[in-house]
Amino acid sequence: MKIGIPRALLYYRFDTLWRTFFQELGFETVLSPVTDKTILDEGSRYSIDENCLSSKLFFGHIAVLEGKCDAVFVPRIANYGKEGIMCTRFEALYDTAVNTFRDKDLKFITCDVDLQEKKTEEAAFTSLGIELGCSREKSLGAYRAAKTADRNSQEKKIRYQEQQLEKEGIKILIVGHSYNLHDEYIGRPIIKNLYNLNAIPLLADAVDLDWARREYTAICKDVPWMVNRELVGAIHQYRDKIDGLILLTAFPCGPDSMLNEMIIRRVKGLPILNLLLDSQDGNAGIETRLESFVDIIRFRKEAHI
Amino acid sequence: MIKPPYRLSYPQLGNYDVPIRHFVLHGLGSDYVTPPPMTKHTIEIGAQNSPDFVCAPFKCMMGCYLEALEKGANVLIQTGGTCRLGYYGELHEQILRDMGYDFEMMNINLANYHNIFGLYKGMKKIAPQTNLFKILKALPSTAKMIIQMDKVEDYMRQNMGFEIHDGDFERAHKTYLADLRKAKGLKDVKKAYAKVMDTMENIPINKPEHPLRVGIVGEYFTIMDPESNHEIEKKIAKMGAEVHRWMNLSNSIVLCPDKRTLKKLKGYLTYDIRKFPSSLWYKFQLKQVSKYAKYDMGSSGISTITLAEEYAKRGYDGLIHVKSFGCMPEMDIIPVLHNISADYKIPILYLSYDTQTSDTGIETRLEAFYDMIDMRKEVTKS
Repeated sequence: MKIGIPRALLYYRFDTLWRTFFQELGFETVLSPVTDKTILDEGSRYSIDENCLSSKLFFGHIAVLEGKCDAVFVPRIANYGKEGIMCTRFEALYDTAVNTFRDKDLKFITCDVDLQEKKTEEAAFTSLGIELGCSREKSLGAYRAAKTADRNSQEKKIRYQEQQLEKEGIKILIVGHSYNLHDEYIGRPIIKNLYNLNAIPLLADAVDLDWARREYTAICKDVPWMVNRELVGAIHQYRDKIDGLILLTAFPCGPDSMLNEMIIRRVKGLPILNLLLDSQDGNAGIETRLESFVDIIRFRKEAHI
Repeated sequence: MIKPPYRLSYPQLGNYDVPIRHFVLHGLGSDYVTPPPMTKHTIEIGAQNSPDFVCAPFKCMMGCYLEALEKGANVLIQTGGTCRLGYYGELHEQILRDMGYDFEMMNINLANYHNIFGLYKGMKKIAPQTNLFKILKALPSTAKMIIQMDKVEDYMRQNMGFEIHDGDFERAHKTYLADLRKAKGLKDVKKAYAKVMDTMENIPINKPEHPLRVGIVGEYFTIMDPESNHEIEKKIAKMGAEVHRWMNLSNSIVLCPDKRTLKKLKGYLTYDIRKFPSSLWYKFQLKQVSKYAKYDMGSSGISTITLAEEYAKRGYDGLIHVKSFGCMPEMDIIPVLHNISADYKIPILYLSYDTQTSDTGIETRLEAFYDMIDMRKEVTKS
């Protein structure tokens, strides 16, 4: 059985976990290709025009998987209990996908992570394995192996970031959801652009996530969303080591619409650029803004010296 | 730091300021500042002081808070919930503080209020002179008030489009609200209800045997607040239609859908603020719509689907889906509504509100929608 994984949204956070899990169980996984204009157009066709750019891309990625796999994996992740909730989008994602592609030749498999209802990630993946015809022990083993692999890959990301941090130069922390930071259409061009401007981009998702979730309260105390807690925690971790902050948001992201405002009001003394991305073509606008932002930081730094 | 006397305030939501005020006065023994009725100006100043693309309820509430603070309120209440609503409290507080206001925020969403007992502790803080006895005594009259208000409004929505003398229903409703504002206990509440129902039932109406029936579904705040949704209910009713809406405070937070007493009690005692507003009914409704949804889709999403399907099954002529721009849960269920529309052959009008201040666009679309379902009914009849 071939399992399709859309290269969008939570894939960028859980890629190692999901792929190792299916690999351990002996299933082949098919990834949708990296985002391009066709995928965006497909996504815009299948989703409501008000949807955020990232979820439009998600539906585009599902659409291109049609005919290339036996089932598409779309987990339903509602919350992680005390660690925080997810955006309601991830809570509804499975049902939205099923309803959107009802008339298409697409099957979906899912698992349900909802700690408020006492459904842990472990239980979710074990029952998914059982549903796919594997034994309980094998499924549990696969999940544990996948979790270890996931932890290792996160540590690798952190180590890389630490090396970046030791370099000399203007360091800018890009604060955004993993699915925006690493997407070929949204975040990648910005990261490349910063390199071209001789600045060192740091990514807010390459931190110790558990630590970030604990310590985010230094900036604001009552954030319900787990991912946003991590992002705010990352700002807290790096705020003395960086020269500027880019808030990267896909329009109209719900949680970010409020958190960005909060960050701007609470994090003082650090230049902040609020970049809002929609499905526009052409990068000239973004490039100009990045260039002037880096210039401002450079002048500011020289003035201080 | 704020010192007593505490003057509580909660943003306007339809006419629910009446029961909230009743509860604060008689249950908590504190003063209540009713924010001025929401106007275009309220929404404008709210939007000015809010982030750009946050959902419209945030901006409306912001405007209400500002006006309430100007009127002398010093404790603001915020509920919290599953979607963005969960973060309203902290951001409202931050923005208002940055503007220089001095007040106390009672944010029900904060960690220690997660169930009813925690909530009581929180209430004690802003209303030191209250006790459990007082609260329990005020609860039945408040609950009754909410339930009966909703019943009156239901009756009004279904009949006001066919009144012979323009404005009869609205006049009766206004008198009813004035009576409720003066009510001191359960007896007064019941008396006011009997009076208004008597008046309303005697209003001459000219209702055809099979009137056009329109169901309204959608997002929690926008659907319940006529100023936010540009009074679409009244507008479409006045064109000559029976308007139905399930979503109101009594159905969503006062009445437990389970009929068994023990289950009901359990539902109230384990009320989970984090799941607000769907804590009581989402499991119940999820069973009904298993054809369309496997899981809870967040906030009021499941009830929107449930009711849309129910109205479609009953053979209504059209549905109107209202939501604020960018509302995440309601956006996610639109594909489901598309499917319901296709399965049951029922037209749905989708309205998405931001803080625009012109009625004209909404009116034009409502008129076109009304004409369309009216003609459709004519055609299918013959």
